[in-house]
Amino acid sequence: MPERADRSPAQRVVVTGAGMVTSLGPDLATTFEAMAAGRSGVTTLTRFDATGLPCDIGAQLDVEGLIPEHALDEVGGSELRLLRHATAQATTQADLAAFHDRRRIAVAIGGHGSTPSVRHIQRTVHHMDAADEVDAVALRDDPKWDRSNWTARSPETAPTLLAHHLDARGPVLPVVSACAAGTQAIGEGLRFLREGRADVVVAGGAEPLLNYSYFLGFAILGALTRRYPSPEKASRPFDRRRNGFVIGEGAAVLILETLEGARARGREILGEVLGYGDSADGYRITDMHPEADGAVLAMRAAIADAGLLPDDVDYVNAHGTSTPINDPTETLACKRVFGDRAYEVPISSNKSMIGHTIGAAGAIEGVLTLEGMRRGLMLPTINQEAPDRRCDLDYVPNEARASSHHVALSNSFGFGGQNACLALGSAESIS
Amino acid sequence: MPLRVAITAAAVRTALGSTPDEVWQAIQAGHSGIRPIVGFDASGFSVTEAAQIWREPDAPEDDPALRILGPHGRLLDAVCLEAHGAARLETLARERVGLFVGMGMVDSSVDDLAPAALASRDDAGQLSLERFFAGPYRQIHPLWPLSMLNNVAAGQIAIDLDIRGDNAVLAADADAGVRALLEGARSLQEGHADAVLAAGVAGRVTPALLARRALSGSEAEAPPGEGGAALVLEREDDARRRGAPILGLIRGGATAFGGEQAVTRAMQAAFEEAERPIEALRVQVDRDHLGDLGPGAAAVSVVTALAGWRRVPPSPADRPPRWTTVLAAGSAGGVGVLVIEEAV
Repeated sequence: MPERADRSPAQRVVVTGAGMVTSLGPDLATTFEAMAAGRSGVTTLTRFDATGLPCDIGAQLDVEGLIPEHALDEVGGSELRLLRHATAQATTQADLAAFHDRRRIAVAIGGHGSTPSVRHIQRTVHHMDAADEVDAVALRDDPKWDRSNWTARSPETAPTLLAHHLDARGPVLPVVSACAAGTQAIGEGLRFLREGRADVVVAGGAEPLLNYSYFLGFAILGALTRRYPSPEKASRPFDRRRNGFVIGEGAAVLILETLEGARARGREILGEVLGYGDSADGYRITDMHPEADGAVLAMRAAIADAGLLPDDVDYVNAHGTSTPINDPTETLACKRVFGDRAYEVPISSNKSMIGHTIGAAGAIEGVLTLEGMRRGLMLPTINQEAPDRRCDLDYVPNEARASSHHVALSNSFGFGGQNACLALGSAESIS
Repeated sequence: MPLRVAITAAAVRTALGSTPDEVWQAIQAGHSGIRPIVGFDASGFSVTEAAQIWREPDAPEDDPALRILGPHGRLLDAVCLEAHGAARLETLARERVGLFVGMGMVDSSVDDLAPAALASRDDAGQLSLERFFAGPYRQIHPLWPLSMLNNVAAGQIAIDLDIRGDNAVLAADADAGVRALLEGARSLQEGHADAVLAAGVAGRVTPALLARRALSGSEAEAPPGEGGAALVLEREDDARRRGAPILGLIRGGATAFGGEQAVTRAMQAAFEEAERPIEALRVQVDRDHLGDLGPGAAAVSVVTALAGWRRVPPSPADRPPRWTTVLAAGSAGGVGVLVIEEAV
């Protein structure tokens, strides 16, 4: 195991609770075990009728009966509902209820809010006059109008309501950096603790239940897969036949605290957040930098922030979206960061099984990475059937791999060009 | 240890002006940018006035960047470009220049969806998804989904300025502006960047914004405003070393959540960090003149304070105090406090 940065226990940040909900399960254990078996959570959409659209699949959750609705969900929407579920698991594990100074609990959540619902669009059309102008007052007063959708579209709504729900009175940080948001939220949480701005951070990300207009947006953008023999075969990161991502629903939350604080509270330590790095591509809104400059900056920054060297990294949880551009570019980024050793560092993509959960992706993948270190198992990248000569690294193809690994990176690269990377460490290596 | 972060450039756009001096002078003269709302019929809302500044035509369809950004994204882009240019940061490595933004609400525009939706109406005038699927949905611009992402304006600014460093976009309540400035300052303090663009921008005044305010019960607050500002921040030592003009110093700050006590807690923490007694400070209040600028309020308040310090007062008694507090409270319960000091 490598030597860690010379940080005091008050400066080291550990994880004492984790929770999640994905298309493969209502909690971390169920999700992890399904992924370890190489199962896919991608199915034909049932949330709405996608007939006529170029893609009709997604990684959906079964929420009814699983997550009871709360009055706050009327305002915070499904993003809050999923967050509450994941947070309850994490706070129970960390025994956060016993933490008395609620002023020292911060909340950092990645997300983006909801998009206009079909009902919202329907009622908007209903109130258009002959000149196609909307009567906003009539819309506001329309009892059939989707008020919940309206409030849930503000990206700060779910994080602030979560803070209210938890009685957390420290800073609340709603991070909105698209696919990098969950990772950035955990990274900002790390900084909060190192700088002494909080004693506990509830950090994570959420992706609300799919709605038609949101799905339509990605379909119009051409980002979703269009050709797939079956839903479970559609997400195939690094495989030559990949042609777009599969969108997914989910949420994950971690309880972060300093090593000193966790020990003082007598909490079990699940792993360590060793470092965080981020960058901007500064290239194009829709495309990654072709030489992976932004991704390389974020990965190197995370390694440096952890006080490590590239040679210390045992595993990479890839952004791995299954798009034609991301996967070879991320492969190039790994080669630039690790040099010839890139061929020896296993890389796998959770998105091959649970799709791309956008605002939640970084948090879900961070939790799964820590769980993999805890269980001594690297999750696979499924659907590896046709090798791509530009993607020639070890992607842990199709089957999980037993491995004692102690330092991992978790990558997230967002639409808009924001990149983020976490360096994570096993609990076993904490001295 | 108090923050020692220098503000070395600033740019602003509000209903009362497009330079720090213009805005400061207008406020000192008691002018208000709040007027009857133009651009749409607001007569059915209880709030019919706002401090608006945008009335330019919509962006041309053939300019992808402008289309994605939307009006307040374009304003944010403009103030960031202006502040960055004024600070002359060309000598810094691009990966050492960060960007922290408090972003006003980004939402879909009716105009984006209306043509497709209207072409899909059934005989009763209702939206028919069957008709919609049959083809009209293709009328929606392919960049529409990107225009709803809150971080796209920040991505465009990074492209325009070729900056690659530490960044975060925070949404969308008023305290997000303070958080953006503070996160930027702490990024410098912790050595994650050598210069930071820290900015905030309010969402555009639209029927949707008025309806949202009505739903959230914030109609009784100050009328909405449009505008924003960008600041260039550097560690004080670095700024002095390179001979940059220091307009002011961020010396402390804090954010908190949860009711009236949050204000007290954030102020106490901010003053403690600044190592200043509370009674030596004044609170910057611009809402009566500029409207509720949401996440743009904090940066604009800092800019007006800086402009006041730069002017020669008619008499020593008219000189603004050397210390100013910027307080922002979001309607969702978040509070942010910044403590800034005149540069001497």
